[in-house]
Amino acid sequence: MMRGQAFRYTGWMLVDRHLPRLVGCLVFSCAIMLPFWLATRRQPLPEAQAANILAQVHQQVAFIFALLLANGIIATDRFQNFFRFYLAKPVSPLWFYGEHIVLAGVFMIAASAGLVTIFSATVAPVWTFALLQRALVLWLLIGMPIVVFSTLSRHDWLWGVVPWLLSAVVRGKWPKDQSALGDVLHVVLPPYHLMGNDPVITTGGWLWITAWALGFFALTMLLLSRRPLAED
Amino acid sequence: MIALEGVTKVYTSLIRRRAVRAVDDFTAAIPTGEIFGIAGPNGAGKSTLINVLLGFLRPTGGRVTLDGLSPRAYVESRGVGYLSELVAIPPTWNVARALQRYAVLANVPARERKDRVERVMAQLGLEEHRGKRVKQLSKGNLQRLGLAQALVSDSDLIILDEPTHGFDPIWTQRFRDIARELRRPGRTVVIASHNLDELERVADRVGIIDRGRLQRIAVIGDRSSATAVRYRLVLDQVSDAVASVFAGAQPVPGGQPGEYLVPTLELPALNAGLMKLIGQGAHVVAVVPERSRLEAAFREAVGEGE
Repeated sequence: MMRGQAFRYTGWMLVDRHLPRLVGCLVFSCAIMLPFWLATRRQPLPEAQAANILAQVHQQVAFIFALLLANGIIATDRFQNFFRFYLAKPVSPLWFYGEHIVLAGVFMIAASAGLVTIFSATVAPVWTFALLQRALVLWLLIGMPIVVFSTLSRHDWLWGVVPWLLSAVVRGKWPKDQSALGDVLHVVLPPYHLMGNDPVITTGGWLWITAWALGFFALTMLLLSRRPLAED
Repeated sequence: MIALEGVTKVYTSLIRRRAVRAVDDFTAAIPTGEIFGIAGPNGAGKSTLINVLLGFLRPTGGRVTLDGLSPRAYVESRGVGYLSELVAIPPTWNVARALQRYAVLANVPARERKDRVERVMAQLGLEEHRGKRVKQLSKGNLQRLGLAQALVSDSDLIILDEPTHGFDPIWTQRFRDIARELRRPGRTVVIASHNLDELERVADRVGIIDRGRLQRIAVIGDRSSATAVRYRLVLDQVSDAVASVFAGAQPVPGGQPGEYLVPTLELPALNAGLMKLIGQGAHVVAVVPERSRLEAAFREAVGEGE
């Protein structure tokens, strides 16, 4: 526990890390939307086509948001030694970084909402909650492994990308329902196939994603409690 | 009370499996209220020991307790005023806001926070730099900011690793005053430094560490038991009596006439000899220990004694 007021440092966490990243995401979103806005000024898009474009853009951009918001949460403090002054105060690393991780997840949804709002305001009014749900799935599947490796590695963001790429390659080579190996791999590999825009996520799918994310969160907490931050 | 029992820290490289014993079977007890110095050459294990004290490193062997608690349990419940050897503060923060952040983390009540921050800034001469970003600070000013963040929490345990690193002579002197002001009942201060003069002026005891091992603990206040040292004796003119009073005394090589080196003596023997010399008509201009008692103890402990 962080002794005293549990959320006493939250304001500074927002100012120092999360708000600047959110602003960065929103500026990036505006830049991405500019060509669409310019194109649709002359000829408005049909709503279905606009919704499809937004889903495609969101899929790509939200992936970048997840990398931007998740990377360095612990690794930056560890490798730049900022943790020394933070954690000499009456502060638990579990609480301190746990709060950062949750805030980053909330800001992932906020950045995604910002992107959808900018598109709806400038290109076509196709605001939908479904894309925020997609952003949440991306955060849980890409963000959480990054956070675990943030306790161990300087280049934590790689751990969000590499397993996803490898998994995509393996799934492509041995698809589900075409071989016994494919069926086994489908169960064993991380549920990255649920990240796209097409699949409808069932209750089982949500349980799989939640277990995956909670498992990584618990592993992060375990590493923080068992492995002091100055250990190499 | 800090208790270190057989504390050992071995670093093992993952690839070559080569082991380095940074701290080796270190046992010491530091009572509450003491200012305890840790002296040692570069690479002796001082910073590793401090990392273990704060729970930033886990000892490979032995046990550390702070008031009966494990290091992390102590730090997470009470906090420590800690200055690391290399001051690492996010470079875009400004000085006043950085101290406010650390005061929030240190649980300084909101109503006292502003005053506390102003007080440590005044104490460490940082007012004129309050609006500067950390990356704009000189080495000495950054060090003062690091010290300020350690003091802003007003903790009962203060651990300073090379606190005067990068200080000019004026701030080195000022630090000694600050260190003396830190003394209060119920507060323990640990200062690691290779500046023996600094430790001798502020610490009650100094643990001398070399190659990870505690070689000895020098009691600074206890002059009678301190290691004897060589003295430089200065008379107003050459005197033949010096050699007969102090066996082995020699003129200082290359020194002025009337300057002698008097071999290692305990204080009573030195004073008796001086009385005898004055009784024989010599005029003593100065008697100066050639090096501090702590320095003599240090050289002896690390195997560089004469």
